[in-house]
Amino acid sequence: MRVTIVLLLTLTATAAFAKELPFYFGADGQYCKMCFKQNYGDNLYNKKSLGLNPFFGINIKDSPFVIEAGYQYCDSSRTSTLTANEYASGVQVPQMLEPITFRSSLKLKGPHVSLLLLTPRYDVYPVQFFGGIGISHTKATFERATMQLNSFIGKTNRKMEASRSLRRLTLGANYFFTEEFCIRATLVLVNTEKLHAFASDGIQSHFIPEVRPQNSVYYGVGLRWGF
Amino acid sequence: MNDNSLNISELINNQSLAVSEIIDDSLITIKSHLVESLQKTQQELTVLATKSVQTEPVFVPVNTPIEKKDNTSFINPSILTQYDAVTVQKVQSIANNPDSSAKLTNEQKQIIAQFYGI
Repeated sequence: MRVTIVLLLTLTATAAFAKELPFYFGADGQYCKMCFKQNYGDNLYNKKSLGLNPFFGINIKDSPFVIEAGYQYCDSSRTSTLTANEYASGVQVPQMLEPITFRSSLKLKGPHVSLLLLTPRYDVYPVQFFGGIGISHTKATFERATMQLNSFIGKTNRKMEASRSLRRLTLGANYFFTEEFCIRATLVLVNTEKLHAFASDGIQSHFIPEVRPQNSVYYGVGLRWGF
Repeated sequence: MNDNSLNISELINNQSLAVSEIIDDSLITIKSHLVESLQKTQQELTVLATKSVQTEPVFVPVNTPIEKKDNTSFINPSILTQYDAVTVQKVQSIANNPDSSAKLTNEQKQIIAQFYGI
């Protein structure tokens, strides 16, 4: 215990704070996990999707804060076959039409901006942690093509859309190879629960398809250059 | 004097008989018109009832088809739910009855699929 304290004190005393460059940019590859409420997309849409997040950051002078903005995009698709008593986007599959095969795809995209707090960075210890809150304006598009209905080929394409401003919480770490270049890992939580999407394709029907996602988590790994 | 009064009463009797005859005739004419129009209405109703039985099952929505809108805009869901309760019940019972699967054509099944938004 004493040794640890002595080591920490020595490190703090001798280490020099690394200089934060005023701007940075980069891109994250992301793995998004978004679940759906039961009967409202859980059996149609892929919970896991891959995406990209290009970003740009501005260090606020003489403070540990950074304003980071970016654009998030991810998509996925899935083929599923549903039978009677199962629900397709909130609508029960009728007995005479079972089994129905759907090809479903989702897209999430939109800009975001966050205020991040950076921990101090030492020359001898090139890891820096950060975290913060922000807002993103996300547009979700859920498409569902009916491939086969009972014994005949389906031809309907339904589209459900929602566009909302969402809260986001970002946590991450940078590992610096040089003063300018680092790799980073991020964990972003977004309240996509608000993206309750209704049919927006103009197709007339008694039952209106709807998709209700739950909150999502984005795991990202990326590269960052400072200048 | 007596002769005059007899003449007058005879005249009144004759006039009243003539009036009652006219009224009777009119009533008979009106009655025959009414009977005729009732029979005509009944025939029309029978024809309509026969037609509606022939065209079952009825899946035709009450509202007129809406224009296809821009994909980015939202359509008020209430526009799409203007089917009457009887039609909804009828379609649901057909769609969930295994016996009707063989009886209906693919086109009719597709109408049911459209009704269900599938």
